[in-house]
Amino acid sequence: MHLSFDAPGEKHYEEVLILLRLGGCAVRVPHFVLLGLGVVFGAGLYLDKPVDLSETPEKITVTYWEKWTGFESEAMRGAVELFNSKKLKNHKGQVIECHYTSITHIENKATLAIAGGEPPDVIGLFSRNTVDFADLGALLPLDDYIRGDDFIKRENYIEVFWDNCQYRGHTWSLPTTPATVALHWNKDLFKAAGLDPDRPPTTLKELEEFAEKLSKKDENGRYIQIGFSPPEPGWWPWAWPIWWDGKYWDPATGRITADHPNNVASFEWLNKFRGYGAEEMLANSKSADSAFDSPQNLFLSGKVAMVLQGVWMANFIRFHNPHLNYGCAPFPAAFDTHGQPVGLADMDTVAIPRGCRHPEEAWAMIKFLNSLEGAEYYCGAKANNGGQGKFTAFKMCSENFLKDHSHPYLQVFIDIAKSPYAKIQPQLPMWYEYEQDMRTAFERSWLGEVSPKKALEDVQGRMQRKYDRIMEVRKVREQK
Amino acid sequence: MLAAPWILGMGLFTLYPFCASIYYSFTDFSVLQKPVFIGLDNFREISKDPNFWTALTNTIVYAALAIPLGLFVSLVLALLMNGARRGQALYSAVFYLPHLIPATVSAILWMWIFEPQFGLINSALRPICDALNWLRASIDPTLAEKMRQNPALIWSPPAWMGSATWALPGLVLMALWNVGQTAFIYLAKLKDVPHELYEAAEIDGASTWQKIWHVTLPQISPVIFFNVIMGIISAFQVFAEPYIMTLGGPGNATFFLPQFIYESAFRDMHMGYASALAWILFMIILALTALAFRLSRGRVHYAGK
Repeated sequence: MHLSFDAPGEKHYEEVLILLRLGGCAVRVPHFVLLGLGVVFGAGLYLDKPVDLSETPEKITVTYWEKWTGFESEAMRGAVELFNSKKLKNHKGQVIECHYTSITHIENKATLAIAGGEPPDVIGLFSRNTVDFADLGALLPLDDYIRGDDFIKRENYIEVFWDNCQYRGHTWSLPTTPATVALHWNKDLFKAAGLDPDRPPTTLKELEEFAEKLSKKDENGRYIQIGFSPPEPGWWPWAWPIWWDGKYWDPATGRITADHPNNVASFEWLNKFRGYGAEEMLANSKSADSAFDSPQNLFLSGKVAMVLQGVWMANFIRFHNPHLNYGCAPFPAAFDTHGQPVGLADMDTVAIPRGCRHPEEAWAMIKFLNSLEGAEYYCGAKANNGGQGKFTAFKMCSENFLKDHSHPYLQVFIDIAKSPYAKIQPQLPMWYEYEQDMRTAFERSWLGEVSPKKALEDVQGRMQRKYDRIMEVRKVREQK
Repeated sequence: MLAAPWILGMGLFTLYPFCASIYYSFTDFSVLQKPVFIGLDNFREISKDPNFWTALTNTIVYAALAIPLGLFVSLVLALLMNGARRGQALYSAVFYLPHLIPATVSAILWMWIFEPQFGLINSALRPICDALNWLRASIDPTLAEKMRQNPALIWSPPAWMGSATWALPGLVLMALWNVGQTAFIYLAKLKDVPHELYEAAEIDGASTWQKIWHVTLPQISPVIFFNVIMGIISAFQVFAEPYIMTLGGPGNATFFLPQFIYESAFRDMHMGYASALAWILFMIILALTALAFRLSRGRVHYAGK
């Protein structure tokens, strides 16, 4: 029965909502929506069952978080499956099983997990995290585990990678995938410019000359091809002083040396390329359409003829432009290196977070990742999708590792890593801020806002204050 | 009892963090270790930190550009939509659409629009620049040769996110794309303005501009005031777009206070320092809001009064 004061539209609205009548009950649209949501939710609960991490007398599960996605993550997942296939046992006779999870923004999530008392057993971090996390008491030292091991010792590792895992007298992490950077050049563009395609520049002066020949303008006078673009790819503006034997700090005195004359000289040399369009080059290195992992990458699409890139670049060349005719060689240095290459070294690491449930078993996983078999699996050509395409952190390798490897110039990067002039970021507690300030200094100097000297002096002042403050607070904490 | 869930949520997720951050701003706290009380040291350090003054200046400049421009553009849009005889629903949908797009997606979209070589804006500006360059070279033939030798003399569209001069104005331009919601609020209030007032004004011989100035604006002044307050709050909290598009660069040109707070907390793990920064930002927004309230007296006309 309808009441007389119903508005004319309401009756129709009510009728539209009723889909069917079941024994006198009206089933309306909202009921179906709720039912549908319930079905979807239930299906989700059923299909996405939580992983069973419980410990049994036969099995113990170790959780491993890593930062990678895509093919790099698949390589690590393959290594974990290989570890699991070995069915290693702990001292209680339980089989150690590793559960691998790919986690983005791993630094933030690791911080929260460790602070919350529920960290994973093994965590994959960046090299810069060793000092931060160790300083904040977030990691377990690995000294006792390493002491009893036959293979994991400094003699077997490339020094730059081993040394960066040490901090304040302890070992806090171990390397997984090391990397160095080198000059990549486009051989076809070299040939078109009248240069020998197999001969990269070996001095900075040559690089300037080659860059001039390789740069082209359109009919309106704007550059459409650049020989060398310092802001590209924009990941390590702080690192340029390495090729000038620059210094970032003096560990003996605790003095920050951002304004070291060699650092200033590096930025002054880079500014020589401003004439090719400073703002455009900087914008191109940040823009969406020249993203690194994309066919429009400036080097892959032939817009930049020479670029400083890492060992991983061969993977992305293979994916996005497999016909690119390119070469790799050490980037020229500004000082006499007695024939040794100079380069930036970096790495990913694994560590055991403080508060994890199974540290002993976590060590078993880390030990495998730091064995020749494990490391060659995920670094080389044997793992899923060709592995990570990098070299290992060890001085030695197996007979077939280089032969089977997908990288055509891997030896160049290994030689750089083994050089006494391979430099990794300094072990400073505020390195992340220092790195960002160096990026700002590079951009200010590159855009001509201030001189390189002034830009680096500003970094110097700010970072020295930050460092002194951290040391003061550390003293206060140690006294409490 | 019915309000209990709201009170519980408000207490747990708003009030507790609010009060805790006051305490943490007086400590050295990294989340991974217990906080250590250091008094006013964080605030002292902030006052000496050049990055803080850079971030504060940039935030103020951004707000000074984005708020008045945003209010003006949204008001003009609302007046135009209010005056449209047909297609009002279509215009409303089109202007409101950008507000529905998530900030991250907008940022990536605008990175493409601002791309110096292939972006939409520069693709439209480049032919104009080329025409002007041709004109300059025609007037002064020696300039043509100088331009060939030195490309810096060639007039070109700005490099936007690659230029320390144009990056911040670019972000302001991007903010103007998103004025749909503000325009909607104006439009709703405009429809509430009594027609009799306009008829009376017409009888008195008022022009269009006089009607807007003496009838429309006073009538919608409460909504203008509301949008000013909301504009202040959102302009001083701009984060997602500059963080994705420029990471605060080039050369700190788009480095804003919210990014500084985020990086201090989650990148550098200085929660105490970040809490102190957050409280400074809060006091600035509070002061500006109080100033807006003070200046609104006598200028905002409520219907009930």
